[in-house]
Amino acid sequence: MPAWHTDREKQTLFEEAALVHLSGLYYAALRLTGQPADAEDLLQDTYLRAYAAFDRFTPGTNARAWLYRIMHNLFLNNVGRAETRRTQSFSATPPATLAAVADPGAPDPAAGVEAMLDPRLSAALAALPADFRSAVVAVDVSGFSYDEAATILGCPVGTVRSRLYRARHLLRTALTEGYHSAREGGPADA
Amino acid sequence: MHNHPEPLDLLAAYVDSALDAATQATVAAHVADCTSCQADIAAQQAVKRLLAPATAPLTVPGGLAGRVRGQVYGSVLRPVATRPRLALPRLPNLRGWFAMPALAALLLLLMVSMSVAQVGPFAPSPVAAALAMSIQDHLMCEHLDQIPHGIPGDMPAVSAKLSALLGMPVAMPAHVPSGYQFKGGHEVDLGTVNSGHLMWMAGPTMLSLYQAHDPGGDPPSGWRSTTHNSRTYWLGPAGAEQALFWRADGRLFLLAGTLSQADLLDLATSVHP
Repeated sequence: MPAWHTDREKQTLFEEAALVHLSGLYYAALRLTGQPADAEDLLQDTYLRAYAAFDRFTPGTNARAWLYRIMHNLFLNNVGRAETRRTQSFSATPPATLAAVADPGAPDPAAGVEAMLDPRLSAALAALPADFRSAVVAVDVSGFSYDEAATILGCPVGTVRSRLYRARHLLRTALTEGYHSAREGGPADA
Repeated sequence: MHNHPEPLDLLAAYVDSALDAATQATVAAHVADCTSCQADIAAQQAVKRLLAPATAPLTVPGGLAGRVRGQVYGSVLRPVATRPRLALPRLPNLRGWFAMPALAALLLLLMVSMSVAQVGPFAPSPVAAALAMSIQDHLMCEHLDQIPHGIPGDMPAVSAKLSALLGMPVAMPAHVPSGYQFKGGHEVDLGTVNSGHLMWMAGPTMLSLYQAHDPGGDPPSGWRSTTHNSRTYWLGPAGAEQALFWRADGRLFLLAGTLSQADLLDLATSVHP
């Protein structure tokens, strides 16, 4: 039995439970997909799903984790298609124009979005297997606990931990390439 | 020689303090004199720091929330979020004491529309369009007791919610004229940007403060500028409802209400002294 009687009531509840997480979800979507246009698509799909399934959401429970679970599911299910598209458009789009893509209507590029499009970090994230990327985004970008991340990613806590460890390891290696490997070549006397 | 923690991914959980106390202590004892694990931990921490979102409110592309609402609600129901929402057939249903302000407000709306239309075949400047839609919203709110997507609560709570929705800090006036009580706020889709609307009421009279990322462009024609404390303010066409806007820190502010221009200016300078 839904907690609302009219569409307006449903919208009001949805605003309070779901729409308040928009900027955090967008940030995570940008990290998952690496591209503003793909991030917005993922965000739109997430909210469409959430609104359609809103009568199965229990008010008072963790709406944030529920939304992220929907988003990570969509991301992992569509990753093959999205990866192909992203690779194509990434190679066709010089990094300098990405800020303009992020916000074509506004004269001041959104500083937060621009900073996130650091091409080295984006490339390192893009090179991760999708389920590793999903784990590192849930914990390090969105700040979920291991237990919450396990629910969101639909896997055991131990799997979250190992994906996270390996994802960070791979990112570190990619970002310090040419200097030393993260595991073997650390400072000798640290 | 010590054995490394098995499996090695315990180090990730160690960095996040996600181990039970006993395991955390065992790992700590090993790490104390294992340079290889120390380097590994430093690497895990470095990546974690790199990915952590900035502490400042996150910026999202202009109009994103509006586009999401448009798709989500538009696909399911009659749109609530679609603007403009000024529905002329509603006016005859207004209670008597609303009739005069309503007529004056409608007149102002027409004047604003006309001043926007003066631009001719060209689209109005983004800032002029945003102001016109804010004023429409202000007029609509005055005539409806139910605010679409309303955020009830006290000023700090509403300000915090709007800041999160808009991805920018929401500014507050230091004081409002006596008799006005804070009623809440809501987010308004202005087409290219979303705006936060804070509202106060004194009886049936509403006072509105709108703020958004400045979409840029020239002020609407018909608005006259005045300078106060080296900041430029633009006053809207005279009418029962007055409007005043200014720009600060890349943001756009609009005050609208049944107040004298002097009172509005006083209020504006209490937002940005």
